[in-house]
Amino acid sequence: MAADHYDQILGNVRSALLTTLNPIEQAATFPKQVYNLVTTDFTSMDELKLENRKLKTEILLLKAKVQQHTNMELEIERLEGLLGTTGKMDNQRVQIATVSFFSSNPLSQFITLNKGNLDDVHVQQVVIDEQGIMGQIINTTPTTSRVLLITDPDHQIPVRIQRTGQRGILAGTGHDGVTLTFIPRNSAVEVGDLIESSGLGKVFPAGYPVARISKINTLDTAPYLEIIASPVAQLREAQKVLVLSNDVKAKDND
Amino acid sequence: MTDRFIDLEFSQARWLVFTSYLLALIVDTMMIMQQGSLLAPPFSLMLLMYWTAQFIKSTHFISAFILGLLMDAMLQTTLGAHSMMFIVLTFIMLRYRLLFRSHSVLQQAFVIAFYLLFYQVLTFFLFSPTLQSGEFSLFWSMPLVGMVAWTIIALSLRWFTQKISLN
Repeated sequence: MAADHYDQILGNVRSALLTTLNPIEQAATFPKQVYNLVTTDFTSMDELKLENRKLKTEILLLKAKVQQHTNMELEIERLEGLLGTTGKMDNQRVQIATVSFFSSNPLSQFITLNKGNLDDVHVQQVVIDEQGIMGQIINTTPTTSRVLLITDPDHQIPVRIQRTGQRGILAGTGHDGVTLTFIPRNSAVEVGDLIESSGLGKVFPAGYPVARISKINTLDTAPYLEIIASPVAQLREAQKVLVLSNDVKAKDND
Repeated sequence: MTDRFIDLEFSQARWLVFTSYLLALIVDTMMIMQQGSLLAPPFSLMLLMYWTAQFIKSTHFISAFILGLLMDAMLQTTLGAHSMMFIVLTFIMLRYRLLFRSHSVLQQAFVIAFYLLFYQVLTFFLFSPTLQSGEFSLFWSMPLVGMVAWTIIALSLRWFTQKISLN
């Protein structure tokens, strides 16, 4: 217990146990898969056509945004060159994975993905959805990987408030909630501010949205604010997620 | 017809034991995905209790250890924590299993409720689950659900063991 709690040197043992549990997890999710299959099969043709049209429009808008994004990237690079700063944005490789299992109990908050060691997925890789950061990979088996969500009480992520640049640590509180710590009382923080990853610690890349501030409490005795936030990522609803790799993609490949 | 345990050798019901453990793990895994999982008792632990009382020639510590490890991996808790809890509960059951076997199913269910309450107390202090205000009552009500579950489990397994003993 001590070896696992303090040093996590039993990672291989846990991976072996998770590999053993894979068929059990699959059997446990089988009824839900059947339900989804049945409900999807009964989706009407009109609904599918409507969804298809909506997706096509979305793709068009996204393509337009990508063009803007490329221009902005070049501009940022040029400005950073002028300023001599080192905080360059990385173009990271991504892998698409499907959520195959999730935990909704008060002891831990995690999801299981259908990509593992065989797909070149490794521990500490960051997982995002279309809204923002979901968590990081903590265990892998040959065919699956387990992602500790940002809402898990054991999870902490270095962040900054997008509007002010104020840095802090975002800690999970369980129950789909997070709290922003180490923000002094005199900080200009507002409800609705977006919190993004700061890139400190070199696990989470900088600039990805993480949460939005929903409540600020000032405690008379405490030197820091009590800030409660809601994750922007759809932690419970997301089916397809992106696994960011630690290595940076060469710009020539873009 | 008695509702108590039926004398049986482990070798006679080996497959029933393994299948029941497997099913219990699947049900426990299903419960992790449910929002109302706080009410669900740990079925693998209840099965362990049942088989500990059923087969009195072995200690079942290895089963307790392995099931505990699997629960730790399943729930993402510290490896060995559930093993320790399962072994402690198995040890208590070993001390009183002859007395436990003599009880009727309903009396057994009451005893099991106390075992599950002890399990919840250990869970509360070892893992500090994040419970919201309305969830405290659900968390502490789990032993009551366990009582009902025990009645169903005990009667079903007694029926199966009876069939095996007759064959």
